[in-house]
Amino acid sequence: MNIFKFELRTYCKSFFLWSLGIVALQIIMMLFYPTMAQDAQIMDLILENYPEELLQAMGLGEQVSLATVLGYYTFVFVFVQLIIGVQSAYYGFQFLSIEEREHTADFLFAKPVTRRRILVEKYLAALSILVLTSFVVSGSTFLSIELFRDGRGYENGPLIMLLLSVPLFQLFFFSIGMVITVSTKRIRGVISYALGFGFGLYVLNAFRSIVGGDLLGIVTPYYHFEPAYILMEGSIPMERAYVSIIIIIITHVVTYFAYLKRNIRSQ
Amino acid sequence: MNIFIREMRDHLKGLIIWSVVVLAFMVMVFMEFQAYYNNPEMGEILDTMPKGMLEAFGMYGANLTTINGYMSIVALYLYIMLGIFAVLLGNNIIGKEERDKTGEFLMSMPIKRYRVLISKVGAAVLNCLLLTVVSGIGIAIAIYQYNPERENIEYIFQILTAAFFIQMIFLSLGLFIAASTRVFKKSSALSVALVVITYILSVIQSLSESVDFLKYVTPFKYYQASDILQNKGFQSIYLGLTAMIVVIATFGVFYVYPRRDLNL
Repeated sequence: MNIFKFELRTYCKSFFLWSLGIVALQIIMMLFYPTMAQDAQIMDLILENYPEELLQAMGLGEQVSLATVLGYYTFVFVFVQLIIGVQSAYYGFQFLSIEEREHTADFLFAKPVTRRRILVEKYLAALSILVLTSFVVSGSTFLSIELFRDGRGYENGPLIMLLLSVPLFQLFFFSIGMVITVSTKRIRGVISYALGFGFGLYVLNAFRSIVGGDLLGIVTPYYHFEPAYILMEGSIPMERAYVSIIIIIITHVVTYFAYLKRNIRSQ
Repeated sequence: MNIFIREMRDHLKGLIIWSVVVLAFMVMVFMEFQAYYNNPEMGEILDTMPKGMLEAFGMYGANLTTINGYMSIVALYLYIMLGIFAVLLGNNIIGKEERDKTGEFLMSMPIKRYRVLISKVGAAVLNCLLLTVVSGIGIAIAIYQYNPERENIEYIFQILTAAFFIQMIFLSLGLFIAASTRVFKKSSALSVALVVITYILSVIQSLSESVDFLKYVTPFKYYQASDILQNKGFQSIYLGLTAMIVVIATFGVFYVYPRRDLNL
């Protein structure tokens, strides 16, 4: 229990800063909603004149109208995903590698606690922070929408579904970070890896949404939990999400066994 | 010279990984291009679209059926990847001495700190240049099968130059952040915030006319691919801004770093 508590305390500041970033991002982006909604309404009228297949070919078929609250929020949420992706990957790379990097492993592993217990407590602490972050995301989602929706209505159902997908999305990045940590000798720059993964997979999906095609989307959770799909259909696209879920399960198993056998480097 | 060689060797692994990623991205991206290339149906669809709509989706002037049009969409993502590489490199190359406690060894050598900096900055610039060249090779491989013409090659060359300028901006900012903060954790967090925030600002800028001034704030907007395509070149104000940022940040690095306490 002590390790768990200690870990939680070390996350405090970083959790606060990331949360602040997420809330600020959502509020700033939603600030533009009222003006965008008016412009977008005109555009929707133009779009209506085009046949469905044509829009699909353009990759616009999936685009939700930016005039509606949820339509615009789709657009906002992609960036929220970007931030929580980087954050989760960061924690994933950080929580197991930090002891070796900062030479505190000598101290920690000399304690009369099994390695399994250390792993589990550290893992649970990181997980709690991720869950707390997803609460922050949910709270600021409703806050920013209520502040700027300008009297326009929206459905709760799909939005809740979208927020429920957040923990899975976080776990994907978190577990990738974890498994890379245990399968390499030493992680030096945690943030480089986290940013590389978070942004790299985002870039892949952003590009995919412009030119279309599923090929680019297979490996990226931004496509598995695509906000546009979830908000439109009101459900998570399971056939894509399974890829994420399978990766999460495999990485957890690998991490567990690899870490118990790991040669912890000291000095 | 020794430090320069050492730095090049130290960052070789990272450079190789990034090169593979950039090459893979280019190949994947141009695989999708097959569906568009010289496909008159796609061209017709684009022609029937009203100008305003294409603009709203950032596709105005981007005729996906031509190499140049497609390239103009790829460009932004190239900028982002190379920008991230540069800011992290700049931050790492200075900050790692304090993070890994190797500064103690390095700084006890009979070399002035600014000489160390010159080697490090030189190595970082060369790394950026190499990654730009690799991206160029990636694009060349990817578009070879589409028989590029002279104007395509010129345009791609311009995009690569722009990408290199953007790298220089982020590199100098990354170096400056690392030189002026004492704790590595803090400086890497700042570097990440810098990239993410400038990217999000570039998105916000395209949302509304009222925040048009943001195009001077975020480097991702300095060399918009569609602008380069239409104007056949760069705008001098952005070239000026780039030079200003790079010079001030580099000057800052050489002023601050030799004077501060190292955190060892």
